[in-house]
Amino acid sequence: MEKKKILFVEDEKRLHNILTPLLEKSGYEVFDAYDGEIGLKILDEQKPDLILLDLILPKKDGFDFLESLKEKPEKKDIPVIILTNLEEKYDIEKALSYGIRAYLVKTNYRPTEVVEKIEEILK
Amino acid sequence: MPNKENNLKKLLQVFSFKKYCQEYKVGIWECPPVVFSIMGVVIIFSILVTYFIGQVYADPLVLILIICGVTITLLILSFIILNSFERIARASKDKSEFISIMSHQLRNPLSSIKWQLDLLLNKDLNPTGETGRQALLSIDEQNERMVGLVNDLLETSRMENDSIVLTKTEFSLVSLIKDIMSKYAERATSSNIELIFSPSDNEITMSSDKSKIAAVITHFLDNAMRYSPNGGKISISVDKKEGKIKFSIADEGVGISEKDEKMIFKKFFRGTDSKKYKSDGLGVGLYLIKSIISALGGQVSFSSIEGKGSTFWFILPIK
Repeated sequence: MEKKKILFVEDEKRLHNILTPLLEKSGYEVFDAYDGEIGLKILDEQKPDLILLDLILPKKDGFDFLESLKEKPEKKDIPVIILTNLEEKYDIEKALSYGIRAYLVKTNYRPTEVVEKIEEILK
Repeated sequence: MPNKENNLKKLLQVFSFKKYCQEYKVGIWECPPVVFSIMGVVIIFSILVTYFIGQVYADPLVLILIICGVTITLLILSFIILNSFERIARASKDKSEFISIMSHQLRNPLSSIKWQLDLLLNKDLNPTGETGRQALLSIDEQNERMVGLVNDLLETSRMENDSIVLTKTEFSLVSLIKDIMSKYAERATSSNIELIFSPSDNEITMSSDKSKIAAVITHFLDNAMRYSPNGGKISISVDKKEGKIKFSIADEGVGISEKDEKMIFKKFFRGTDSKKYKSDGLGVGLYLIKSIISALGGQVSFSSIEGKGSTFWFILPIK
């Protein structure tokens, strides 16, 4: 069976170093992107099963990314999980308006819990 | 009797305008309760005066002039009240924005520490050797980041309250800059940023507050690193001329927009696009730099081209 693909867009390398091996151990293929622009470039070449997206990102931020995703008819329905430390009502509502599947605040979730959330959505 | 005294004290406290004005940090003549009280006195006084003048003169023109005068006075007082309310409302908005930025800035290192600890405690992953060491180094780095944030806040508060203490010693500025740059060497290498230092003389010494100058240079370098692109260059130079020292730092970063130029030395101000770049920072670095350099009797300034980079400099007396 082909591995499910996850696009992980996050600028903090140390978070990639923790979460990516965990996801790989759970049987996923992970594409790491360190800014919004690279994330979109990967998205041009791949069709991930899920996108894990930070909101504050260099070059193109999470909202710019979501806006570009919306314009890709073949990929606009890929489930997106926001993983951020922003918790303002404005940010949550704006993210939800793009039809994201979950909004996780990094400080409130352990990496293993993030993996569980991904598994729940991809079930 | 003591009860009556207490009640009197409580009543007097209600009229303690000074305390109220200090609490909201507005001047006594801009303080809403004070202006409201003046307005009340003006209204009562003008009613009485109008009554007595009306009794004596019974001339409608005089009465109209008095009423016009009173109305203008009341209008001016209302304008002052509105203004002071606006200032208080703005202060409250700034405060909530600050809490939001502060909690976000603390959350970043906290979440990173939480995730690293989770990794270290995860029996399945069991990170040993280099991976474990890297996790511990990262925890240490994030902890330092939080210490830095809290220290900056305390320093800002000291600046606000004018309780900054300066201790002058003689030291080598060149060595100090080299020490600070060495702390950034690893970060510069990993971001492929070239750090260049070119002093006009290797023996530039000065008599000033070493730790405060170190804080200024650290803030400058930190900002330059934060906004520099991969492969960028940061050039630092120091020059000694006519009893003064000029330090300057140039980067090839995002620069400062014309709109932001007037605001950058203001407390808690963060560039319009700061969210798009690296999010660290409370927006107090340049405020602290300006406050410290002013306290040491110097000047600080900058030039910038949006999209091309910025050059910041300060000039300080050698002694």
